[in-house]
Amino acid sequence: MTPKNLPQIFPLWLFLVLSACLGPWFSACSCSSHGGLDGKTKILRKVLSAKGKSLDPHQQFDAESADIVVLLFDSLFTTHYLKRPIEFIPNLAESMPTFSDAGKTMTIKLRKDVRFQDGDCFPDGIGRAFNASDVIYSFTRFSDPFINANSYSLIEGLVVGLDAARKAMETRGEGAYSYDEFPVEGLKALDDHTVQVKLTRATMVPMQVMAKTIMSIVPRECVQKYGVDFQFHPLGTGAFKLKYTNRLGDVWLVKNSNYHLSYPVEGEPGDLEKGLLEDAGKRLPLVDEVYAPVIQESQPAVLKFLRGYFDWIGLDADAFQRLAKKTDDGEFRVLDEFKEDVALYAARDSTSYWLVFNLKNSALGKNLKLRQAIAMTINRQGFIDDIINGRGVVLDTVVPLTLSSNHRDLNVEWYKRDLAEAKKLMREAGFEGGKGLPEFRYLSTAGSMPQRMFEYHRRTLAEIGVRLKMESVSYSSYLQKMDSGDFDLITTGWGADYPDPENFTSLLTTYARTQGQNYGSWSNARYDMLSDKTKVIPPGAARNELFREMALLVKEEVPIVPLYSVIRVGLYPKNWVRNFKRDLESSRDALHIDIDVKRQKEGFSL
Amino acid sequence: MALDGVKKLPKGDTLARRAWRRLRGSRLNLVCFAIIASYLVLAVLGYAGHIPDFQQQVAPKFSPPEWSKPALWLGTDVFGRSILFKLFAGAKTAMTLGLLVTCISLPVGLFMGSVAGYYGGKIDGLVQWIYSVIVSVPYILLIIAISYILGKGMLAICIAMGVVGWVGLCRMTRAEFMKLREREFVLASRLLGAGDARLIFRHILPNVMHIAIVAASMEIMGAIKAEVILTYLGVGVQDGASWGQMISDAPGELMIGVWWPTVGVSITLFLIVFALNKVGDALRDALDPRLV
Amino acid sequence: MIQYIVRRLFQMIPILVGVTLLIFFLFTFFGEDPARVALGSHATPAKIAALRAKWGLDKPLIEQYLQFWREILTADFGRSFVSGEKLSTVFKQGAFVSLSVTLPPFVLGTILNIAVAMLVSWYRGGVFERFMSVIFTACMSVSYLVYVILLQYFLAYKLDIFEINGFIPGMKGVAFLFLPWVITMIVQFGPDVRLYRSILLEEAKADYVRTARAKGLSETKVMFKHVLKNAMIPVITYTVVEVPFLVMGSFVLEKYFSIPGLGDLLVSSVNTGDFPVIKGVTIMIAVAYSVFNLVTDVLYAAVDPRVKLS
Repeated sequence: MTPKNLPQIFPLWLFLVLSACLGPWFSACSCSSHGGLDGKTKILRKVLSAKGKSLDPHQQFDAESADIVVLLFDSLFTTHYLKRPIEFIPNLAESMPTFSDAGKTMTIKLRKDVRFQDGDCFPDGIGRAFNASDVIYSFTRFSDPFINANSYSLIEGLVVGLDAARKAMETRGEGAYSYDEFPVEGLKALDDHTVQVKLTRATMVPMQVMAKTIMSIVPRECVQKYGVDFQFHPLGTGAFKLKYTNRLGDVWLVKNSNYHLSYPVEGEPGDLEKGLLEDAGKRLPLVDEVYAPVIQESQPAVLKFLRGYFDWIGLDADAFQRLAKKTDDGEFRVLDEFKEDVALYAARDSTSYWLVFNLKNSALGKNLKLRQAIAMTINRQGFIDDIINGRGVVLDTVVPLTLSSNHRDLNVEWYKRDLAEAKKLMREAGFEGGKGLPEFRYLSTAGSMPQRMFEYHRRTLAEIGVRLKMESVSYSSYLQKMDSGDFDLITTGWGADYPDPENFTSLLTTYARTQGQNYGSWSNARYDMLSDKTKVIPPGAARNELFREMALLVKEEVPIVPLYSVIRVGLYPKNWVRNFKRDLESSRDALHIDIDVKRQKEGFSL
Repeated sequence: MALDGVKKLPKGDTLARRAWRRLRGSRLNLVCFAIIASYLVLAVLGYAGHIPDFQQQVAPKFSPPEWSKPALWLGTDVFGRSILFKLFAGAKTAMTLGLLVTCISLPVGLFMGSVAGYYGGKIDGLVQWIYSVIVSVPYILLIIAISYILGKGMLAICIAMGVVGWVGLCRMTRAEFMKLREREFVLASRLLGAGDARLIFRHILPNVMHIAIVAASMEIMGAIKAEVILTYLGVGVQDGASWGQMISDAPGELMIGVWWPTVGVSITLFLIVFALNKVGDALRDALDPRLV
Repeated sequence: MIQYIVRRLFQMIPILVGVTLLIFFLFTFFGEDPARVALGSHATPAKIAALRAKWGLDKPLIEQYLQFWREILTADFGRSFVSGEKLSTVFKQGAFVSLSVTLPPFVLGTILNIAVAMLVSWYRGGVFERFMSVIFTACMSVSYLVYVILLQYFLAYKLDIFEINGFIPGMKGVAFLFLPWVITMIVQFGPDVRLYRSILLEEAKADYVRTARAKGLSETKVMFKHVLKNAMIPVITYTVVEVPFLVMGSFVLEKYFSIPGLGDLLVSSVNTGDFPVIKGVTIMIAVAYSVFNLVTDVLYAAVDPRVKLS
């Protein structure tokens, strides 16, 4: 036990400990470097928070995938980068479609100067010129039931003969056919650069869906060459080509020098002053590469951004509190310590959240006054301020403010928060102070945020005696319980599939119940009838009247409580990122952004 | 003194009494006992409804710790609730969890280990097969999968952890049994006509108890810590406050500089883990028949 | 010996049967519905049924179970339901990545921890031991999550010693692994040293040690020649058997450091009902575990002549 014995074991373990500790220093980690910037190549580095499901346009329906797919592929139409509210513009089409036959026939002229990117699925590796047959091929593939399980429903029943083709493919069985065997009457190539689409009724929806990434144009040669693996070798006409991707969902894109679109020459009032039109008319894309790694957790993403590793980061609730604030006059600003280097964008999203009452629950279903009382108690603005840092806008109907026929257009107001009135209603309903009411099950997914959201509502409803119990389950159980009505209350939301209010209001119809989306099982014949009408009437005063009556029906019967729509906030380095106007509708920011490489290499002054 | 190394105590002294004497000696041990006891008391008070309601808002959200009121000694959380009171409420969850899990895994482990070690042969083979299968499957996977069957909630988690946690003790018990069953005192007792049950319970098991006690203390500690990770994954206990939930909120809080909930929970965990460790060690040393 | 090994390999089969039955039962009846997860909020009963049919989930259970065995024997678990990637590639790449995160700290940590354990048992009973005991427990009671967050913030960001996050395959990416290694070693430190210390102390109580001391051997010789060597058996038991699970990586580390290992893959596959991934990873680990158990027992026989492989 004497210290003199120590020296014998001392060297061995000390050596090991020291080498373990010194290793990092010897790695010559110049860790504040900006990772791969050479000062010459314009690289846009954006951090993603989740991996997309697929890079095959016809197999993806999630925002993460769409954000990348839109850079690799093109659709016939798209939306204007600068103009707000959104305006549809041609992309692969030469001009917007012309309508004939009482709006039931759409004729689309295609651009003649577009080529697919180079790839070894083409002879000699040179990308082929795009033509009308590609449109027919891609749309048929879009309706292939074995390729697209998910998004076809957006144009279901709208294109003549397409549903029948889909059914025919399903009967044939997977992989047993080529698309040429399924000609569709409503999809014809009149010549190499003209496509005619016949609709079952006059509606703008198909055109709007054709502007989305789900109906992108794909080259048949590459699809046939790669088959199931096409999602790992995506190739289209897009502004960028995929250089690298990995299992985590990181992507590295390089510029397509033969891209056909140019920077817009006009925008909305104010864009000129903000310098957003300096690159007007320049061929897109302006950057050479896009590097987008996936970092699932907020902290590492924020820390790396602060070290200058990224040119764009979206903020979640926790990251927002760390880096930004909402001032008293409702403006979002970066915290003062970052003001010199970092700029902030805030854009309203076409999403909407609302609270659903399960009307099959006896207490909730039978007592209108109870529901009204709850509607008057839920503190929507308070929720926005406390739980999502003010990054939201209160909605009085299910339609988000980015679309027309929203509650401001219709002049419809939801119940005001009024505790006295709510308590009075409770008394009238026979549940004074919550007596006689069971504990209501509030269904949610697991996690810190859902927990906070539940807690907020629980405390609010406790003010009138309504008791909530949280039931948090896994995502698929959550969906399944919602579908089967195994809950009392949930908060659900919806993101616009296409920019038409009908996409939201139709979620409350009886039909939506069988499709699984009217979770509360509300059924009102008049609402259904009005909703059907909105599908066929063109936008205008008459249609607004329909929406208005529908909104008032919802207010009268309170099957739901509209909550809020989200404001997406993000940060970018102001000194070297230009032309950034957050394009939430089509996510084509990366095409228009320009980088000052010298300033980018210098990094932050932080 | 017996020849096979199992010492016999002087008359009138039982193993338990001797163990107690030994334990009482060290002051540190007593402090640790006190810590464990106070957590248990908190848990009992929690069940009886005698602890302050943690759901009350006592100050603005994220107030830092201050001396003025006990409620504010550890500051407040995102809803202005007292961190200290949340910790008290969490003690109830943690202790219940630890004890329930141990109540399941301990008897099961002992039983399976005993019969496997004692009878050997086919029974041993069966028990080995069962625990090999359980151990081959990653722990996280199994727990999440079982929670799907049993749903969320305290009982479900406890059963899930218990079902997986008995293996360690079972193996150690089995090894001890295999060693001891050939000992002379067992052979002698059998010659005297003692039945299997009597042998297992009165003769061999006491020699194995010290392992069980240590395993129990480790199990309790393991359950409390596992709850944290399970909550992070979304499969933890749902109702009220649990330490796991408080740690799960740590990432967001630390990012905005709110350190007091994390520090509070970590200290709370440290105390009980330390106490359980020390007591476990001390019990093992005290009860070890070979250390007489 | 050969006979023993062969017999043990045969014994793997009932264990695999058990594991496959368990996994199959759990995830067929109780797991997530992968079709529902894939379709999200746009799911309708018809679409769900169609997707399940596409994945062969509507076939009779016996057929699905036999398919499971076919996949095991051909070591081909098909493609992930979620990402469509070929799993043989995913597993190979993922396992290598996970191992590069967990193996070096495991080896280094084990050696280090044994050394520290020896140091602590050497100075048993003194202030040093008490102090170290508090350190161990403190290390053990801080949650993994907290370590990751704090160390990433302080060591990587504030002090700029390590890389914050990221992964590059191959030698170039070693710098990204240093902080995960450090965190892994710190987390393992407490439990491991306690374990090794208790093993060493158990051995130190044995009769042969008293004999050796009585014979007049120096403490060092007693420690190294006798105690350490004999302690190796239980140490080997505990450590070698951990190796198969190293392949799983750590999902917390993988999430915070964006490392494409198997840990996060496994956890997310349970959440999305990605049955092929669950099947593949579980079987891989189960087989590895049995094999390593066998390796341990063979090592026993090599290290300790008294041990007879029966």
